[in-house]
Amino acid sequence: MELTDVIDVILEYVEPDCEIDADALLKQDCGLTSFDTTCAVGEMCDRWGVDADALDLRAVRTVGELFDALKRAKA
Amino acid sequence: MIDSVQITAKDGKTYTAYPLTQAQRLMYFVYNTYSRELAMLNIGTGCYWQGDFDEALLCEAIGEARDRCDTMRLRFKPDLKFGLVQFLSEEPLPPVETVDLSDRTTAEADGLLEAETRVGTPLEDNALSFVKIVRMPEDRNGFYCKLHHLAFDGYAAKLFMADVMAIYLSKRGCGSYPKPMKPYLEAMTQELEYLNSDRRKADRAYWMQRFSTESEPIFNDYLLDNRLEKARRESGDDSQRYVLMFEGEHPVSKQLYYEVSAQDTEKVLAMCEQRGLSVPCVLMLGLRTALSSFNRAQPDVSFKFMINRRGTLLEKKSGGNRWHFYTLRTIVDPSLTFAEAARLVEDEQNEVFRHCAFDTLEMYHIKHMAMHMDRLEQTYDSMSFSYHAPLEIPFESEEVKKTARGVWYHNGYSAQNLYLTVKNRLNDNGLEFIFEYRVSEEAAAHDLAVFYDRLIRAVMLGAEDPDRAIGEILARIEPQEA
Repeated sequence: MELTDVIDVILEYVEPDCEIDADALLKQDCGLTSFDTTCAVGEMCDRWGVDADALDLRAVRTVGELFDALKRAKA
Repeated sequence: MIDSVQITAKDGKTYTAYPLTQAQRLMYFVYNTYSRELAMLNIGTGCYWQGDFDEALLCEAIGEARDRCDTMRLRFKPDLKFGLVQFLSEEPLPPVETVDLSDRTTAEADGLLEAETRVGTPLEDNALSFVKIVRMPEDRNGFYCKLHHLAFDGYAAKLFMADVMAIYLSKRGCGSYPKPMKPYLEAMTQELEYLNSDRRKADRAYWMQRFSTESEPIFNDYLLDNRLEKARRESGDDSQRYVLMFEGEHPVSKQLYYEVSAQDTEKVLAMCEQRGLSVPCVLMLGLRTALSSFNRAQPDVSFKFMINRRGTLLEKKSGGNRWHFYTLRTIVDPSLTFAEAARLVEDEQNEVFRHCAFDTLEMYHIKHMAMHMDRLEQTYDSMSFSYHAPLEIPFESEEVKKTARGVWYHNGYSAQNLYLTVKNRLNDNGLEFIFEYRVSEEAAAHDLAVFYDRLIRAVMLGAEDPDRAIGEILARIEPQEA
């Protein structure tokens, strides 16, 4: 699982105007709604064997923070 | 592998037809059970603006948008095995008509289009969705859509309108041609594949587990003459927590409409932005606070909320109807702050999101079994809520946008006693609250005015100070004793 994999999944959900990188805000820059985020994160957990219950998304605002949270939950 | 049948349609051609998806089955079920009025399945909507208007270009744009939208050609046919099946007809769509209502008043013109929305179309192998160019009074022009709820939901309708406008503007040299739509049959196939998937088994297990361990919810009324208290008096059981709410027989409904100013809406949006809160969750918190206040500050509140299940681009851009309704139940301690309570609502919403592909009807069946309820009309949810997330409809300029009118015409019928929809206005993004209530509930119009007042005051008090306690908000929205 790399950052680019996370970005690829996000791009299955939204067509943002700008390029997405680690600093992109999930809501404002990527345009993800709560429903998008829930579905996209579920998809990522399924693809990479991450335990969704171990995932803490409370403080996650950016793509990079989401990637880090997924890595922590997988560890 | 999904189920399908071969059918011969009116045009003499043979088509592969498919069973209804779960969302369509829900819509068809409520139509059959609670209404039987074909017009209940109509969505009437219009988009009109002032300024330069090129009728020929708009006609071309509508034609191209219809061609890009598969569900414009979606038809239905009865089937012995599946009840009703769907297919994409190759029959040409009718030409786009123009209706000139410019010599009427706006109210008269809206009345005529609303009357058209109230005419049902027989389901069997008929074109069900139509678009007309309309010349409206006050130098406004635009288009009216009469769409079918088995082929469109509110999001799909707005997506189609946005596509028409984007194509029209690109033809006028104001912007690029919009990206392609997505194939309906691919999205429908995913929906039908879910029925035989492990994911469905896991979702089913989740709802079974949840309802078998959850405490019994409690009915919260939006009528001042509380039906739970009445039911308790009649049954002599003070511990009763549900009511019998039959929603059949009288489907005629009316709408109450309330507007929030653009300035007040901006205050709510700014607070949400600043505190990282979700706008629909803040609105649902306002709703649950009003319900709580109508029910002696009850902390345990449930209502149904609509989930427009559109995550992936395929789901977002393939049209169709993807609405599922689920219960949103929250228990909010009055000591929680508005912001804390909004997060609690969001957590619960997101929990439901994870399992909302599951059939709404089956979920309620599981719930009824778990709560030992044996009648369909036994319920803990007095009303339904939906928030139509903003989906930008483009205009030629900000000046033109300010003149725009987006109208949703009432089809005259409702499958449920009370359905609250919240939308953003086209011209200034201000919030609109539309209460659709059954006229058989005589007290509704009066009581809903009180209800809305408490709802919006709760939202504005929270927007003013999100650290204010829910208990304080409840005290402030209730009438003060003399």
